[in-house]
Amino acid sequence: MRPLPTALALAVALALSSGCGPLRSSEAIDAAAREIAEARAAGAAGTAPYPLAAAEASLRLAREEEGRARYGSAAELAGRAREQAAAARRQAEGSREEPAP
Amino acid sequence: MTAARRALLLRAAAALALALAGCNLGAPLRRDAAATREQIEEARAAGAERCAPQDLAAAEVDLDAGLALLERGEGERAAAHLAEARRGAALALERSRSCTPLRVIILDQPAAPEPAPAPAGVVIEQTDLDRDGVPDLEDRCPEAPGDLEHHGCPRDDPRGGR
Repeated sequence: MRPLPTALALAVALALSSGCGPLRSSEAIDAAAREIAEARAAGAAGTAPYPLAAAEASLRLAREEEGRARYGSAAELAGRAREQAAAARRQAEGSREEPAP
Repeated sequence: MTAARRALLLRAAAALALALAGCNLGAPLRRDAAATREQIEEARAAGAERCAPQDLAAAEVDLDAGLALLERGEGERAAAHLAEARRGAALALERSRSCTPLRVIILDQPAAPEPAPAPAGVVIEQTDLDRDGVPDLEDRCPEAPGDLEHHGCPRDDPRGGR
């Protein structure tokens, strides 16, 4: 009777650990997509095209990794996309606040 | 040599061949990645962040992804990403080279400079002291009015003679 609880515990642990991966990467991808949308709304396409494009490219790759069940890599790429989008938004907001000539 | 030992040796040889094949695949891909990295830097120096931001960013992301996949031993996917990176870098470089330079418009211009003073020189004024209409330079009698026919001298003045 001893091996059964151990096996059960292992199965539960495995199920929980594998279940958290997609959740974490999905959250990270959603957050990156939101940040990119905010950067676009701030006018980053015109004033910060390079960091915005980098964020979009990273997000595309994050989605690709998630599609291949590489959740860790997907979350990492999504985190990078979010940082790049935040930089694009800051740059866009900075150029918007510059005094008009 | 027993059959079991021969089978074991064959398996070892096959494993070694596979490992070497993997190394041979990785080496050209790494060289390719290094060349693409150089092209990306060249494109950046040519202004790709402004002229071709999407191509440059995609090339960089694909290059990093290709190298990470190569480390993980996913040669096929790595090759695909590195090919994309190479394509993006080439496009970024091409677009940057044909990109017109950034135009800078200065709206607040400083006031126009004062016009330079006319260069100093000799001013020659035509004078006619006796007001007879014959300039003093041509007037043989500048102090006495006369006509042009007599060189600005009165008719009876011998200086006006021919």
